[in-house]
Amino acid sequence: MSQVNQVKNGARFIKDIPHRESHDRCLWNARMRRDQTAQAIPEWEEMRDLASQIKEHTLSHLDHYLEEFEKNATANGIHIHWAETPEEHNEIIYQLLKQHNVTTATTGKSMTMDECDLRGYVEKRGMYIHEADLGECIQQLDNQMPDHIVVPAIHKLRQDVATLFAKKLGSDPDITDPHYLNGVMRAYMRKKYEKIEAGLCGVNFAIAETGGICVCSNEGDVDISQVVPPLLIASMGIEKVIPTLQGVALYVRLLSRSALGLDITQYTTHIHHPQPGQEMHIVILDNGRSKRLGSPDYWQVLKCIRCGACMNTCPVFRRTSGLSYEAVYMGPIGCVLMPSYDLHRYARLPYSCTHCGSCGDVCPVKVPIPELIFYWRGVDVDKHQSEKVHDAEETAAELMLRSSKTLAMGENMALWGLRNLPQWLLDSGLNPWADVHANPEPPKETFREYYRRNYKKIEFMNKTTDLHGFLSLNL
Amino acid sequence: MIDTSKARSAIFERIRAGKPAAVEAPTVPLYGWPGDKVENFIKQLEAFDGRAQRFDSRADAIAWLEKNVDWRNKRVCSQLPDFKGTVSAADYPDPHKCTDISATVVESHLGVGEMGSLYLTDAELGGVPAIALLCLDLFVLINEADIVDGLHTAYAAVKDTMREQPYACFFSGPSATADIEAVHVTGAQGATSLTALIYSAPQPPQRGSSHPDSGC
Ligand code: SF4
Ligand code: SF4
Repeated sequence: MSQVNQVKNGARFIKDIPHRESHDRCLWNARMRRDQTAQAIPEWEEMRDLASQIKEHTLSHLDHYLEEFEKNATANGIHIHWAETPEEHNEIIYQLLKQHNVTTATTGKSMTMDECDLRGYVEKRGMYIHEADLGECIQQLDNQMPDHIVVPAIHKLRQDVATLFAKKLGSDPDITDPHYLNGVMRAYMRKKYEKIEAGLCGVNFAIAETGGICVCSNEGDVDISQVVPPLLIASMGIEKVIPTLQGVALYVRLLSRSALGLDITQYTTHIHHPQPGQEMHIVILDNGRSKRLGSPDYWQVLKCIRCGACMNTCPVFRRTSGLSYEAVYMGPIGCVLMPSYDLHRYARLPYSCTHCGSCGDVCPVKVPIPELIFYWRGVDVDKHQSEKVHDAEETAAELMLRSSKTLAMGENMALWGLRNLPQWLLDSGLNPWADVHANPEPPKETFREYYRRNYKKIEFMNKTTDLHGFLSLNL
Repeated sequence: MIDTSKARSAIFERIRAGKPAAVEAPTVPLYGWPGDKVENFIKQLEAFDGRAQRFDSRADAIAWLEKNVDWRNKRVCSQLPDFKGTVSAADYPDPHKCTDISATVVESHLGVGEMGSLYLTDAELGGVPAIALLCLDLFVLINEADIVDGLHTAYAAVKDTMREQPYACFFSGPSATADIEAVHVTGAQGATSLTALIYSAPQPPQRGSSHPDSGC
């Protein structure tokens, strides 16, 4: 697959002012609400440290906790399956659905199922899984990937949804009130619930000590999918396990507050056994995670609890949309996660960053995203993964930044160019910077020359002033 | 069912070969939550678009229910011994059918002041959690003495019993969504309203003090 050009995709969204402004506003509001609720809790920062440490502890004993989880879940009557690849994950679920002759299945937001494109897989085999979460359902009906992991359709305006629902669900295209649109969705899903034969869901936390899962959601669709049909299938990555049930309290206190600034989700649900007469399965997916765990530079990314706070805060994400990343995980966490799935395809994502550092500041489990962004840029440059133009740029930059001499040459060349090249060339596509900036007046000299002339002497004096002299001056 | 033991051993092998150096587990304090538990509970529940009613006694709460539940040709599902609905969870061997319930009345034995949450499990829901999910209105009785300060305390209270329950959930207000332009809409796919009926009750006799088995 070709390399994702987030910059180009994002530029299109930036030009679409109504959508961009709404996206930016909604997500920034969530970020501000997050600050408000976090600031009201004196132990907030301590909780972030603890949440990060528990994750580090668990990951460094992951084999132990997965075994414990498997043992306890099995004792609770839950069937556990293991999948190394998306293909295996999907086939396990497809076979289960087939064995149960399922024709109607609903799913409440699962990131791992999206990661594996489960829906696509079973659709090709003649089965349809209904996304039951409003945002996910909108995206499914529109045949689009989610824009955001917590609010999947947040890039859409209400008119877009009204038009879509009118086309697909036969509602009134002129009524754009979200209450009405929610009502349309509710009626549509209720008909499904009357006859669902299988429910699918994701997992926020898998509890090793008790062999149960915890899922946090708002709409009720996840819980309905879990307890109504005779077959329940949950899907989770290997990193979702935590040691104790008491530990869930800490993560639940952080999760929704970080995500949307709300104290908790409407449903904080624990499933420890199938319902009477029900069959329950959990598919545990690797898909590169165990390899990530083995990277000393990179394993910390597995701490992520998928709250979306990094996206809400990111100035790039808010203005360019999640869709522009063309990825299951988007925004800051996407920039550092996606290259590990497909380095070539996502090699440019780590460059969609202004280094503001905000994502690292809000992350409830302290995933060091800003550092990881540099890590992936390094990998990209070393492995020459960017497409030709960028690769050439990177090679040139490497040559120029190699020594202060070559850098000085580069500076002189740039100054010469600014003085002597014709304006049309300076403003051309060769210099994309000039798209939205005016080129500066060429200065009289480079900064290096200016510095030499004015400060070199002082620097020399400072170096030779001995400590005694310095102290006596100050006394 | 597909045999996935091969994948399992490959995954475990990679984890064991590559896992980072052991990091110790921290001790998490049992953080509390300041302020009056019941007042916090009401404030938070209302912030989630739930409703709260306070009563001096359980009998008052039941009397209120008799008057305020919508009875007209509707199905009222009750799990309370002292409030008779038209149906109960036992009438729903097939949970799909719960879509016809207009109101469900149950009792919770654990409320959380920090979030305004009500803890409900299969035990309180008669083994049919769908009665609390597919109904329109959800009414939950709770003794105010059963409301704790914060979520850590709540988990500490249930951590030894939750495992026995197939389904256990902290309900915080009725179902809701903010998926369209972040506009908050109450009544997504689960219950469209949630009312907590908080009653006071005389303190139960002190456990252990006069009981013949006490003292060891
Ligand atoms: S550091 Fe980069 S990725 Fe993180 S919030 Fe800032 S711009 Fe976004
Ligand atoms: S990286 Fe941190 S902030 Fe971003 S989704 Fe994951 S847990 Fe949330």
